[in-house]
Amino acid sequence: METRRYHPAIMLFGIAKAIRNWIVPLIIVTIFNNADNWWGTYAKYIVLAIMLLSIVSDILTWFTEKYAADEHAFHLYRGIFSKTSRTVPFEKIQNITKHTNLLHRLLGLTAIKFETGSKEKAVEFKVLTKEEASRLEQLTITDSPEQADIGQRATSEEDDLIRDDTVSEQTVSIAQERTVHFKPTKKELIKASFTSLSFLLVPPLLVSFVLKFDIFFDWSDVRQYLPLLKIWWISTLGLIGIIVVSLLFGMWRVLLKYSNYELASDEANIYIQTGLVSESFFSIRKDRVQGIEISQPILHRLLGLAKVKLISTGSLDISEDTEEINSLYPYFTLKQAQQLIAAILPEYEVEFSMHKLQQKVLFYRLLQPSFIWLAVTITMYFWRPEVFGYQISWWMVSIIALILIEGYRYLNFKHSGYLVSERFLQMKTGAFTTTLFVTKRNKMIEISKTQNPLQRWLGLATIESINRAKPVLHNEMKDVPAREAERFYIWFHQRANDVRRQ
Amino acid sequence: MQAQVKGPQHKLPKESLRVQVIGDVIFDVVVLLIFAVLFGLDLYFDWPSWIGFVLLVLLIISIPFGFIGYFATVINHRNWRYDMDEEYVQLKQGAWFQKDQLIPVTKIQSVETKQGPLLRKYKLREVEIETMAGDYSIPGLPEKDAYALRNEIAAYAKAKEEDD
Repeated sequence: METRRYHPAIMLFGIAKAIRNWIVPLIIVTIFNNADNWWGTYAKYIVLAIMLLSIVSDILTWFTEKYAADEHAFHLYRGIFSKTSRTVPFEKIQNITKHTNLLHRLLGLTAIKFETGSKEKAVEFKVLTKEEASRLEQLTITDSPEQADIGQRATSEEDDLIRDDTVSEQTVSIAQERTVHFKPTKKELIKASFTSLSFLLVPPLLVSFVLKFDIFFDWSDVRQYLPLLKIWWISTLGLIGIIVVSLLFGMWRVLLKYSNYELASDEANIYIQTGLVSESFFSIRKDRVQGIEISQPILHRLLGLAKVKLISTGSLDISEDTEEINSLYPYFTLKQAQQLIAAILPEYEVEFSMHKLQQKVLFYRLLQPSFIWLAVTITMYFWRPEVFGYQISWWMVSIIALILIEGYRYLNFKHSGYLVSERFLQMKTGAFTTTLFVTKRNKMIEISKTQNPLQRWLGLATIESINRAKPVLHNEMKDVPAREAERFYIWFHQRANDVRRQ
Repeated sequence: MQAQVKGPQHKLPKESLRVQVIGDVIFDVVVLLIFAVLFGLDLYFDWPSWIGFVLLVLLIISIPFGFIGYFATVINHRNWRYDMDEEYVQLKQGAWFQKDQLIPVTKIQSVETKQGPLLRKYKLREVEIETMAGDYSIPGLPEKDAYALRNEIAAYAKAKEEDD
C-alpha cells in the first residue's frame, strides 16, 4: 500500500476556483466603486486578500493531505501537527460519480467521488489523472463480494472466503460486458429540446438582461426607435428572431446535456454518462438502488413522457456546476421508461394500476379549511389593492383562490394511488407534477402510520416510508383506509423475509 | 400477511410524568419571568404604548396554552408505548394524533442514556436511539430499565444487513 499525495494540479484548480468565485466582486469594487469612504478605498484589497487566502489554504491543504488505497479500503491522512486518518472500507461505497469539466479536459484530468452514506462525508478526489481514477474505481468495484450473485448467498464464513476470490475474477470479466440500453438519436434530441421548454427561458432572460445593462445606454435614446415596431415586417422579423434564438438556445442546452448521453448496465451495475463539454459519469450497484421515482410534470403528462430517477444513498452532485445525474434521460415515453426499468433493474416491478383513494377522501379533503385561502381572503379584505386603476373586489379574489385550491386538491386526489405488493411499496401523488415512488420492503429503513381524530372517525390513516438518501427521504401517502395502513405496518414487520443478513 | 403484530406494551413510569410536569412548570415560570422583565423594561424606558398592548395580548394568549400544555403532557404520557424485540423497535405516541413507528433494529446506529438533574432526582434515565433516519428518545425510564433496554438494543443492533 503506497501513500500518495493528491494530484498537484489541485492547486491550479484552487486558483481557478478562487478567481471564478471572486472575480465579479473584484470587478464591482474596483470599476464600479464610487464610494468615497474607507470602504471605497480598501474594498479591493479586502477582496484580493480573501482570494489570496483561499489560494494559500488550498496550497497548504495539498501539502498536508495524503491518501492510500489497499484492496479493501481508502485511507485518508490529514494534518501536520495533529494528524488524523480516516479509513473508508469499499463496501461502504454507495455510488460513484466522475466529473470532467472543461479545465479537467484541457489538462487530461478528471474528478471522482465515492459516496458512502447518508451521514458520512464522501471520499472525493477533486483532481486526478484518468488512470488513477480508473485504478481507484476498479479497486472499489472488484472488492464487492456480493456483486455477482445477488439472488443466492451463502452465509458461512468459509464459503465467503472462497467466494470472494472467485467472484472478483468473475466481476472483472462481467464488467466488460456492458450493454448500452439507451443513446438518444438526433430525432429524439430535437424532440427533447422542444419538450424541455428551456427555450421559454430566453424572453425573460433577455428582458432581465436589458433591464440590468441599462447602465450602458440611456432609455430616452431607445425611445426614438420604438415607432419602428409599428412597421409590421420589422416586428415580425424581430419576433421570428427571438423565437429562433430561443429554439437554438433550448437545443443548445439539451445538446450540452444529452447529446453524449448513454445509459448502460452490466450484471451488477448501472452506468449513466452525460454532458458534451463537461462530462459526468455516474455508476451505482444495482442492489444499492434505494428506490425509483417516476415523475411527470404537466407537459410530460400531456405528451406521455416521464422522468425516471434512481434514489441512491449518496448525494449526486459532484461539484457545484453539475446537475443531478441520477435521473435517467428525462424524455422517455412512459412505456419506454417501463421497459428500461425492467431491463436495468429486473428486481423492480413497477405496476401502473394501483389502488385509488376512497371517494370519501375527496370530500374530506375538499371540506378541510384552507389556511392559504383564509390568509388570501383576509389580506384582500383589508388591503384592497388597485391594479391598473381598477379596484379588485376582494370576494372575487377569494372565490378564485378557493377554486384554485379546490382544483388542486381534486387533481391531487385524482392522481393519488398506492400499492403494497409482496415486496414493493408504490405511492403516487401530486396535482400538477405527479410523482410515483417505488421502493422495496428491505430498502425502507423505517415506517410509520399516523392518524388524526378526523381520520379515525372516517376510518383513514396516513402511512410514511423512510429511505436512505442524502438527505433522508420521507414519502407519505395520506388518507389510505385504516385497514390498509394496518396491513402496511404488518407487512413491514415481516420484512425479515427479504432481508439478507450479513 | 394475515398475522397480527402485537402493538407495543410498555408504558412510561409515573415518575416520568412528574418530571415532565415539573419541566412544564419550570418552562412556564421562565416564560412568565421573561414577560415580567419585558413589562418592567416597558415601564422603565417608556416604550410606545402599542408594545405594552401587544405584550398583554401575548400574555393572555399564553395562559390557556399553558394549561393545554399540562393537559397534553398528561395525555401524551398516558399514551406513550414502546417495545422492542430482536427485530424491531416500536414506538406509539399520542391519543388524538396517533403515531406508530416501526424501526428495524439493524438500522439503529447508537443508543445513549442521558440524565439531567430532574431525571436524576427521580432516578430516571432518558434513552436516546439514533437511527439512519433520525433520533428518537424514550423520555424517563427507571435507571435499571433504561440500562437493560440500552443493552438489549445494543445486542440486537449488532446484526447487520448486507446493505448497510
